[in-house]
Amino acid sequence: MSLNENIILEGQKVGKNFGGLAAVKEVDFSIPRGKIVALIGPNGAGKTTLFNIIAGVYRPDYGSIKFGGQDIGGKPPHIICKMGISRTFQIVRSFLQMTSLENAMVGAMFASQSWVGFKEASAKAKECLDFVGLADHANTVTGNLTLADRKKVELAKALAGDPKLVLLDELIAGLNPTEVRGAVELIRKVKNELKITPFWVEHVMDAVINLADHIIVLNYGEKIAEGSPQGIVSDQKVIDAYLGEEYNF
Amino acid sequence: MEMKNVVSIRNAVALLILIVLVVLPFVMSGYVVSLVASILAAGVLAGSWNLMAGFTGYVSFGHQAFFGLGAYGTAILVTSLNLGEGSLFYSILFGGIVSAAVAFAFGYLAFILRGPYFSILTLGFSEFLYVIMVNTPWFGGAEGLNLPPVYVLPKYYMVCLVLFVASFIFFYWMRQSKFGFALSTIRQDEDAAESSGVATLRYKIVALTVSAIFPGLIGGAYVWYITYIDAVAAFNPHVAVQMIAITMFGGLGTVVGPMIGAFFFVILSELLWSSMPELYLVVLGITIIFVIEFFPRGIVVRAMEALKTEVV
Amino acid sequence: MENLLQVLIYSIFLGGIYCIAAVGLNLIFGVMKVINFSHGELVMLGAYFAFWIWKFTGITPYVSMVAVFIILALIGFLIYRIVKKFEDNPDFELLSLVLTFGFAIVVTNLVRYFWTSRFRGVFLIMKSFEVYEMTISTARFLPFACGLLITIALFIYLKKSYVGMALRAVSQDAEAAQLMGVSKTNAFLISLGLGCGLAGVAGALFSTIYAVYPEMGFSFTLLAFCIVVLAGLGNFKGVLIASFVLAIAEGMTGFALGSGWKPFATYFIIIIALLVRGWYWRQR
Repeated sequence: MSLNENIILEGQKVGKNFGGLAAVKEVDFSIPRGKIVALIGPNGAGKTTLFNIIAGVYRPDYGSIKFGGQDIGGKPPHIICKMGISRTFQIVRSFLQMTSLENAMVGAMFASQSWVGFKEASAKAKECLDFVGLADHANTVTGNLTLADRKKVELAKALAGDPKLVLLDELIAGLNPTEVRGAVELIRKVKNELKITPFWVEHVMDAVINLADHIIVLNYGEKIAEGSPQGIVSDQKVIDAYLGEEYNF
Repeated sequence: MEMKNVVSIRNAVALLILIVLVVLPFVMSGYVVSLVASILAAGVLAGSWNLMAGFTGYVSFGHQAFFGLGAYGTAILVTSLNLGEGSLFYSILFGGIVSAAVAFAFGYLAFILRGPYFSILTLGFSEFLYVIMVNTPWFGGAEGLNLPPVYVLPKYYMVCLVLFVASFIFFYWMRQSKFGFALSTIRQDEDAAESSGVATLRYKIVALTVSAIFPGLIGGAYVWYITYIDAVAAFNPHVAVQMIAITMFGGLGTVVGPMIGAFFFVILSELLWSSMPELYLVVLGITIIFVIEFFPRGIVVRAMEALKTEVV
Repeated sequence: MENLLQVLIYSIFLGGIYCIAAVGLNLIFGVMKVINFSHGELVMLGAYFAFWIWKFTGITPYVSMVAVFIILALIGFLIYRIVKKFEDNPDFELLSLVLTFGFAIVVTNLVRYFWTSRFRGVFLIMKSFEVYEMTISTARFLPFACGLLITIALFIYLKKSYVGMALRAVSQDAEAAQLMGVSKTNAFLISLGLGCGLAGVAGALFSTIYAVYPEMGFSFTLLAFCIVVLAGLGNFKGVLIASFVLAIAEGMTGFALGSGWKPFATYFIIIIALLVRGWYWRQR
């Protein structure tokens, strides 16, 4: 039981089975406050499943997850959100009939533990839209935005509730190189300016290597490696897991 | 400038209608009063269905159950305690409470389901209640229950009007409230809402309970008006069909849609009922299909958009 | 005691008819993902057509059911036209439910208007036969035998034939099936035609024993849904078993509590079945 003040999220031997398949198997992780930790691994490694477990969408079959010292395993998503963990979805799930501002307001209003009214939420939402660079599109209906902008809306929504930890699920998927650079910058800003800890699942290796402070690697549901970007890049197990894919490290 | 003019015309019209409705029972014949009361009641019923389907996104095929529960709650209270006309308002209130209580409990179980399965469950539940009511002598069985044969049309009208205005005010408030905002997130993407911190189950149960209170009260009032209730009338799926057709015609998720729709359909039913009641139902069914296919947001909504007025 | 046994046996016989109707519904949902809320009305129409054919030509439903099948299959295509627009809509299941609900209301009330709510029935004179000191009416046995045969024939067809495989492929993954050369539209039309046709056949068989009236559609719809939900959508063997389970539950409830309580079994079971399924689906 480490009562390390600097560890914001800690998982011990977390596991989940679907039918006969172990999607996540005895994974330990410990996310330090204020650092960017990336979760990588080949397709089907269990990354999104682990995220879903942390976010409360799935209940872990075994193991424990502690957030700020408190047990969160098995709690429903809205409770976990109110406790300070917000998330984005791999396939963007904004409220498509609402404007960007309204989307961000959802985060501001409901992710907070205290009661937030429309005025407060609107102000906070505007701040967040500014932060992600969508101030001009505040009143555009989200369904009409480009993919990159919708991802920004989703990020704004996730940040609007002042979370302590934000789970980013493949934020970069589907973006062109310019947009990727913008997204990476945003994550850096989230860490440095907002002092929110990003925990990031990603598939695009370049971005991860350049930005992450710490990397955890999953394969077939198990953690196979963990460490600094330089260490991971030269780890044979990791290279084997990605065998067949070409990465110029 | 043009928009503002339209808005104030709209408000003036609304106020005028309200005045007419309040004055009506003092100047018009019993027939007209009962017709208007039916329109008001239908509007309240459709509006309550709209709360679940249009605002929260859950289509209920069993909403008639809440009407029936209110009716039976009131009827049972009155007949078992042998109450007289003086108890009218309290017994109606009791009916509303019964309906709300059942909705509250039902919600905890029912919201484990979504979409079409929830819809089928609501119908199964309503029919389930029907079979119990119609076969249990204590609930009056097939013969139903009789209330004291008093003439209460003015009071019935008043209750309908009060509920009509109350539901209008409620929905108008709700549109701009945090509660309404939460419901719309649930309607658009329930999982995303839940992940964003919206306590979806809580909001859904509250919505269901509120959407049961109005039909429950109307049911209680109705039973005093016709001084009689039986299970067939109380739990009749045709009530739901009318709620659905009216709301879809008027505009799902709007405040005035169900009310305007109620006006059209109750008049239509008056015209058709004496000669061809089945054809009225055929019209309801065709309306449902027609509206979904061609005017998914409601015919009234389209008209309002054509008039360039804000759709409330 | 004898009475109980007879009720049991006749319930099982009725189960044979329920089975055809439920299988039809299952097929339509499995392949098209359409929740056909007018399925019971199709059964009702089948019963009425069989009745009118018999009334005017004297042809027994056992023969006319072929014609009934065809007529109902055509009506099924009409249903397809109604729901087709929303094929790609994410809310398709709910939309098809509401649309077919509207259709059911239209059909039921048109029948009520034109053919009235008077009870109709096909009266066939058949001898009874004796089994183990019990008299069994052939009239009740035949629909059961028919139903069972048709159901089994359908199972075999679905399992072995090309069409059957195509339908099963579409029900599992429509896109993948299309990539393999299966025409989705054809699969839809076949399953709809089959499903609705079967509903009609169930109605034709039903008309030989029981009273035919417009409102029976509503009861049949909920019955069919109950069976399909109980069995698990897409599970054909389960539908066979569940049909008999429900028919027996219905019969026993009627025997124990009086015939007015019969539908109680259906509604009680569908509520429990749905809640259990819901709980199962929610297991995070």
